[in-house]
Amino acid sequence: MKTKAFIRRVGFGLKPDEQLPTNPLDWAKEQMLAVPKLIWPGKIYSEREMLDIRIDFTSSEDKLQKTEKDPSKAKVKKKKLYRRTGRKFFERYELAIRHHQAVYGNQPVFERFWHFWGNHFAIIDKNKLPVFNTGPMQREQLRPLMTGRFADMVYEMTLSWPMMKSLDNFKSRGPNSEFNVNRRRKNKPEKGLNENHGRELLELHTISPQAGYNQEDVINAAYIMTGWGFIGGKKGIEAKKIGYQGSLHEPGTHIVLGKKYKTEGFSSKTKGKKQLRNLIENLCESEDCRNFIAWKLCRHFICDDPKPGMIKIVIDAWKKSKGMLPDIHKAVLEATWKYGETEQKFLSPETWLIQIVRMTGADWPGDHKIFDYDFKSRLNYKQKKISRILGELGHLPFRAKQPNGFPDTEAEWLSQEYLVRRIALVNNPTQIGLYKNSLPLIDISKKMVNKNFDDPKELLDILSKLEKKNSNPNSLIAILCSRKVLKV
Amino acid sequence: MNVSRRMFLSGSASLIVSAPMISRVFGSTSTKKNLVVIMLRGGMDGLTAVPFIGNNILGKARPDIGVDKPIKITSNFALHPQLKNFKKLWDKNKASIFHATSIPYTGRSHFEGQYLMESGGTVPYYDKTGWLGRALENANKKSLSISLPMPLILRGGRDLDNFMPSANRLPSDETLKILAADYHEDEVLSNVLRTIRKRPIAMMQTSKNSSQDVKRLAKIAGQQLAQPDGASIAVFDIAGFDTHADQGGDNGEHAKKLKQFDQIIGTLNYELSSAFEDTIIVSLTEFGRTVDQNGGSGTEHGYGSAILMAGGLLHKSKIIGDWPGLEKKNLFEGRDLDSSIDSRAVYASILARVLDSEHKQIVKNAFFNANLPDMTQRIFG
Repeated sequence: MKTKAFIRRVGFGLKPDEQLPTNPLDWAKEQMLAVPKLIWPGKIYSEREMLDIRIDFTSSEDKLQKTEKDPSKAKVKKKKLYRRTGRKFFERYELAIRHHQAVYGNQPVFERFWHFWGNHFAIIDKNKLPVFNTGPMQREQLRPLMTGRFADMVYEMTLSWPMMKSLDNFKSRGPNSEFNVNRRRKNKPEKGLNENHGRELLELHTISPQAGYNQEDVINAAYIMTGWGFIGGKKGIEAKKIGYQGSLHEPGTHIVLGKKYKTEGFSSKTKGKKQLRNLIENLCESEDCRNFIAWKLCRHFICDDPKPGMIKIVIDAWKKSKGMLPDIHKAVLEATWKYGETEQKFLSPETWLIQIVRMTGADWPGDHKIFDYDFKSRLNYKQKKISRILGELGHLPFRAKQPNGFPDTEAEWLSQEYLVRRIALVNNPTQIGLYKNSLPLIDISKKMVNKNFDDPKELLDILSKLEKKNSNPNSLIAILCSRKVLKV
Repeated sequence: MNVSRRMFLSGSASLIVSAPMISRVFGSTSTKKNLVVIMLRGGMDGLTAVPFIGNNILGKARPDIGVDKPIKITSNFALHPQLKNFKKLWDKNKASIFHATSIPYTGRSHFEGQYLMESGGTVPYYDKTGWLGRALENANKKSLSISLPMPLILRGGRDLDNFMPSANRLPSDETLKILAADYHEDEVLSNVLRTIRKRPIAMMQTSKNSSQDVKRLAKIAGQQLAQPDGASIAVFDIAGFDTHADQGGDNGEHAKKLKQFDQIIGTLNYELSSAFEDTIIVSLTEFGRTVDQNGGSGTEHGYGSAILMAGGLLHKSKIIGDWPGLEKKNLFEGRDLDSSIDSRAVYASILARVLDSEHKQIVKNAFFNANLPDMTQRIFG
């Protein structure tokens, strides 16, 4: 593949002052070896801190609802509570950290893979998860897993707090578990199985329906998952840890896709605990899992309909490395390098946005000091714009509507309304941090084209026909919404 | 009262339709007819929307999530209390329900199911166009989807647009011309931009309040549908029916979503005014939900669900379908409401009516010549 196109395909393009790497494939592959530190200069909240803030928010909101019956007073108090707990602040803050990293970091290719995996293990938009939990989980838990084994990533994500909350496994109990046997003895109605997470573990996170599992396999996967949930600690799931409770587990041997998972050990507290680890190991070792994940990675980086030759490069690396992610990622880059020239990929709104701000040197997402929040004031325009713009573009990355995450093809991302929104965004370039006192916009466009296109002539020709007025965004629209920028 | 497994027409005592009625039903082709499809993602629970009240099986299976205040509409069926606008139309003989129906898919995966409910095929992720799009290919009708993406269901159609209110302003057409020249070699981009440049002014105005309140969205669609030269097909998309936990009964998650569905119907009825007489609104979902509640006071992925229909093109409110029953032996795989008919048959018959087309032709164009019986008489008769 051509050098500059490759950098746009697997990264976010070159910044105005960035050196062109001499060997782009090596440049990209080296980025897979270590997890880059977050370069955000402001405070970074831990997942634990965010859970504590969540406890504060939910308990205070509950209390307010119960105690304040006067609607107008309740409204005032609610506003104050929202500000104190950052109810409207934290998602924007997380987005700023994420975009700051992508725009100013030195391992943009790593960031692209991070965004990919965040979407692979999508946490749906419910229960304030995008506000308090999804971003911190991706930073603190998912990111470090990217230099390890895929199977470990699946295991840790399965047992992450937001995943447990969003896919309901903590409410699932074996029909014949100690818990339900006791309930039946006391003539209480049984509280049974919840298949939700078991199904998505198979369908979305590992082997996909291509593996040919049936309803029995789904139920057995859900049996294996029973017992895993929120345990210990004080009242409220936020205060608890993810752990295993043997009394909720469905006893006995469970069979998924012909493989048996037996109970190990004697203690009723831990019996059956290992079944989940064994199941995930087997799923991740299967041919179906390799095929599915390799296909999905190729679809993300190469083309909407990846061919067997591309996928094979990834599968081979997977087999050889026994599922080590750095090797898998490097193989994806090799396949892209080899096949990317003849294929094109329509960029998702978020990737496109990061590319255009990075390549034009825009002030995005703005100085980190903007996000020094006092937890008392109303959020200002600059603090709000990142989520407003991503929302306009239809791609707030922590707000997938369904657990399969955001789509990844041109058919899904190219529509009248989506395109209107990209054009209208660039039509008002101050929004994305291209201010009137910066260079004439046409010069920014020219510089960006020269820096980021192997063959800039076609785009420069478009620019040569335009007026040179500084304030006219025509030149930016002509370039940033051009076919060659939308599709790499 | 027992319901037979045979065809039933609850609420309507008679199958005999008078002659003038027939001419009205199957007659004139001159007026513009509208079709609105409301996609309900996540698996809409037909047994919550339209619960069976002929015996207590459902009540026993769902002690915590039953509908406590169902609105009785026949001796055997009721409506969820949130379906208020739907009920008003029912009382005016402008609403019907096709119960115990599903697309031909039993795999219980949302994403395969949603793909198939839109593609109209039987192999997930295979067909690249949708049944509505294919039916419209030669129909010379404008379509408008109230969504950010162009949904699969409409792909393959010709005069397509999609819309959501936005705060940002498009540049002048002079600027768009520059892009048009650049997109020249790319057919998809060119087509998309061409539609943008032809958009009616109402859809070009910016809106500071970009709220996605369904009533507001329905108002926009309603205004376009009401225009004689405006869109005649509209598609809505509501997600969130996947209630594995805390499904709720009269209120709660599933109820909230049904209310949104109902608000769209109410708003369209109001906005379309007299044009509502030439309109039909239908629901579409990937599957129904299990009869039994689960461990989290929710329900699991099931099979059969219900299609809710409303609009002036209907002439007699009724519950249509061959009710399989909720007794264990009658359930699909012992757990789900069964489907007595391929729901594509219902959509094909509705399409034939709206597009003034031969049923056979619709089945051929939109549904790959699948074996779908003509339901026109049962729905519109």
